[in-house]
Amino acid sequence: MSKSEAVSDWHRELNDLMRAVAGAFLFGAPFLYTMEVWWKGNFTSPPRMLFALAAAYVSLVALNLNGGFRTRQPRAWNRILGDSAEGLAVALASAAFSLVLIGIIRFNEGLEVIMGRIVMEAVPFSIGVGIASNFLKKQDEEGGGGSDGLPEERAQDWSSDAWRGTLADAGSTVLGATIICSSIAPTDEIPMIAAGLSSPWLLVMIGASLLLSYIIVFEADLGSQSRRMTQTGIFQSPISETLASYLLSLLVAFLTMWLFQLVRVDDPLSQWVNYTIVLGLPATIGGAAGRVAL
Amino acid sequence: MSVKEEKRKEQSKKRGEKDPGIAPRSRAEWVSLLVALLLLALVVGTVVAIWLDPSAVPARFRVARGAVRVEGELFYLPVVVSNDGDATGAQVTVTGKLEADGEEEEASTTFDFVPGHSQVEGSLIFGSDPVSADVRVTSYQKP
Repeated sequence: MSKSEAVSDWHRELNDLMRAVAGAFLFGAPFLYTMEVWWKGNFTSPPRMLFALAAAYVSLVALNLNGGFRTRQPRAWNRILGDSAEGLAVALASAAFSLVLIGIIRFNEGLEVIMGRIVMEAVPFSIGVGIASNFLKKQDEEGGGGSDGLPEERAQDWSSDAWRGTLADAGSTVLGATIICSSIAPTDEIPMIAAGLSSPWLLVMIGASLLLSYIIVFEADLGSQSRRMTQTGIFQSPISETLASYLLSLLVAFLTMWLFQLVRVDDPLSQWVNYTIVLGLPATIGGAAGRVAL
Repeated sequence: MSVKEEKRKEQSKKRGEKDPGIAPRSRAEWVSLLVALLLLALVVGTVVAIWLDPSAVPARFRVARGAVRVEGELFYLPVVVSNDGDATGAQVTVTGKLEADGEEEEASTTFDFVPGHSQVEGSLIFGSDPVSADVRVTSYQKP
């Protein structure tokens, strides 16, 4: 095997795993902000946890038959079984990471409770991993993406109008973020999570939100990514796109909370900031999904 | 094999790709599979170990009192409730009783869940200095 082939193998594997992470968060974010899911984890018995893990694995096997998280879909059974195990591991790791991030898992708690919360949260995350490559993959195929690329004229047509591209991206971000925020903003999870987080931890949350947004749009090779990389406009440098869309997602998060009266004009600034950053995480995941989807 | 699959196979052959269903795993794929299996073994092993652990102690609460804080005419008594048992307690109610000037004063708070080997924090608010208050968990539910 040549050196470049080996490098491309590692790169492809990393891309596939990032796609699995992106799928897990896209599907799992609303469940992550549902306290009943954490609570069920508080008193889930070990046999039930094993059943949940087995059910998640079986679902992944079924989803891997016609989807999964890899660009090159596995067809041999040993590949399908192996990929399903990898998918479950990614779901468990993503669930554990996100529960620590929002302060629902603390290390001074009992092991049974920690495992219960991770396993119960990993079930929806597994479904997300299983359908990661189905997410909007067709757009690239239909648009003539992949190795063939877009017809040149169409690409130029699109990229010649930077403002149009920027507005389209901003609109998709706002729409995606609004869809996710409207289902989470009216609930009590936001004040509950915000109350348990310190200021330095909120900074960690900002960093994680930006990283996830970047992974979903630029690393995971989902949907219309190949087209996106050729676009122009304010949104089209990966870093500036991630930053701009995060700010837009924060704005959407704040406005939906105001709409549902979770924040009021008289509330202190610290409450505005804390709540907005907490809702900003699923908002930016929704925003990223919107840009990939629309 | 469907026409679509055949077409896809032909296209990937043209691009020089091996059929992923037949081609051996690359080293990168082996490494991620191995790491994933180790992680799964760790999770399943931990769950099985918890299952086999016979020490299923029921919920057992302990209340620690913090320093009283005075706000206006009220006294805030911080409390930390620890569950030293293995089982989770739901709707855990902490009540503080205080005798002041011949009258009994009571303050209480309820925690949704106190999982095994975990702590939760709250405050009881009294009208008089709660230095001599009797504070304890008065009820809980099995979830």
